[in-house]
Amino acid sequence: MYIFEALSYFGNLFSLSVLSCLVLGVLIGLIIGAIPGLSPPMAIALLIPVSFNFPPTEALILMVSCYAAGMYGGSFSAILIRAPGTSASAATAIEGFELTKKGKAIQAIRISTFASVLGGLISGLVLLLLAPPLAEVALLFGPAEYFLMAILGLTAIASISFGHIFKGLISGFFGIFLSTVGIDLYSGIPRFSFGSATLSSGIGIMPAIVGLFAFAQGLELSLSKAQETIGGNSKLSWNIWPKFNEIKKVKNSLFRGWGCGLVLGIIPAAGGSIAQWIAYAWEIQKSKLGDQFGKGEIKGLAATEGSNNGSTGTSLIPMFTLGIPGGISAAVILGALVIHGLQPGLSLFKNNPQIVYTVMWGFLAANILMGFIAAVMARGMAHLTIMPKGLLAPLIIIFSIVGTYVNTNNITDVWIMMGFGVLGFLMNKYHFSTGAALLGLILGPIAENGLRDLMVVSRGDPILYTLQRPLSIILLLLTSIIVFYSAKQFKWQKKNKKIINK
Amino acid sequence: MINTHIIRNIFIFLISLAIIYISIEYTNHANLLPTFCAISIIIFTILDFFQNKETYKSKKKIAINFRPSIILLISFIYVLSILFLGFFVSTIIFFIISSYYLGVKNLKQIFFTLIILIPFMYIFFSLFLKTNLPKGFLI
Repeated sequence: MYIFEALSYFGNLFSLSVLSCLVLGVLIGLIIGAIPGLSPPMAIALLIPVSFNFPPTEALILMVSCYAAGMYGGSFSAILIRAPGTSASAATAIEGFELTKKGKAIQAIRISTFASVLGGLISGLVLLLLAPPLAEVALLFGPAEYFLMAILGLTAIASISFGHIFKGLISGFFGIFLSTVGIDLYSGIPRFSFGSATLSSGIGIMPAIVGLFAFAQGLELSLSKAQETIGGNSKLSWNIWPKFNEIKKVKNSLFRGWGCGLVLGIIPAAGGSIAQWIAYAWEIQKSKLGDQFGKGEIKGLAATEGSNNGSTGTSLIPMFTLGIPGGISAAVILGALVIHGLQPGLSLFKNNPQIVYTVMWGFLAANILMGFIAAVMARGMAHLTIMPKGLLAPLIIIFSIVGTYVNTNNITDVWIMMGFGVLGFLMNKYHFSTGAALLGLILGPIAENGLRDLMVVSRGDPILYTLQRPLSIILLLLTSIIVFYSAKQFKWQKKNKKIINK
Repeated sequence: MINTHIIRNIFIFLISLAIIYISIEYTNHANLLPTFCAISIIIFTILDFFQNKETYKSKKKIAINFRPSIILLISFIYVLSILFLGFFVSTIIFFIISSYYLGVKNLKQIFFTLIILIPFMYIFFSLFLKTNLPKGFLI
């Protein structure tokens, strides 16, 4: 019944105030998302004081459109200069930037736009039509499932190591170690903080991403000749709309990416940051002879971009229906919801259907609008690839520093970011995986907290407890399949290497 | 002559041992994950050594390029000067020095980029986002 109710509020979208909020939210989201260090949650938080002047529907539309566009905007800088604007576009930087180096920046942006817009739309439709029943899935997740989900995510390390499996594992475990820095929530003991108040609260994801990818890229570019450009001498094409052949080539990757995004978006604390890596690893597992993963493979880009925007709509499901935010952005939107006097939960659908369904329609419209505005923006931003590296390197460093500072107003975060920058530069030089380190940093706390909660709820018998839960068994099976295929792929690579050497 | 890969591995070993040593004093299972990570890193470093023996034996000289180190040093001074001189003045100085050092001799290119960059940063960060960019005795 709620499907028909949802459809009946479509008309509410066509008022001047709602449309203005949509355009404003998308514009702000795209710009903030594209700047390394500035994240969608920060953009949404900055919009809260502005939204006080608006009625709840317009205020929430402003925020959800900023969220959708911010998630997509991160891919611009990830593709063009290997400086991901958001944590959910870190995997995009791997294949996207390699494509840019081959002079295929516009093609990469075309596919990224298509994957993101359609991923956002599908996710938005799921949010609009299936929110209440799907909310129950989020409730099925207990400590065992969180722990196993983190392990499943960590298996992606093997795939994203590109032949240097042990270096990938070293990077991943180093990332997990870094996630333990700060006060241990269970014992209250500060770990590896050396008396520093900033380190006591742990290492932030944002300084780590900006350092490992953006700042390291600034240092890397300084090695090149000043007048060289990233995209070589390629001419920029105006054609931002994807061709049929291009979509046909990546259609399976898109479906896998969207699937990962939709499912992981619903699970609180998972979201786009994890979905992108799982989708990317899945894509590598499915690679065929001739695919060039790690060297500019469009299928990898389609999967990561599809997954991060595919998670945007579904990550709002637990927030709207249960009051449990699926991620930081959803948590900020939840705050705005409460500030505007609305009570999240199923009662929201009963008491204020006109608000909640109009906002969901607004989210869908934002995804379409985002595609059009991105088409205009992409051409301008693509000029970064024909800018001399001698100018681009200092620019990336400046934006990394200011982006990190503005995010928390804390200069210590800038020093941490620079530390990660040096680490990222050295890791790239010696073929360690910065992606694996980041994955470890993101998944470390989920794995540790999940395991320690599991030990408590299972009363010391975690294996028996886990095997009694159907969802845990599914996750265990998925992990086993990935490990099996990774081992097979590792053997295959070793065999190929021997043949090539011969 | 010791290979740089071996020096790198010794460094990784020392860091891992330091993690294990520091973790010993943590109680209530707070030491488990860091110790597990450090031990895993040591094991995988050894496995990597056996997997890539040829790389470790290689005596090929690696050309050292000091440019990233100099840029890092300039960036370090830039961050310090932001607090002292103010964000906008420091950014202008940093951009001119670093791009000139990297080999951009065409001053028109540098100033043209600055003409776009500085107003964009002022409008976006100060006026629109209303963020408190660090101010020194200048702007």
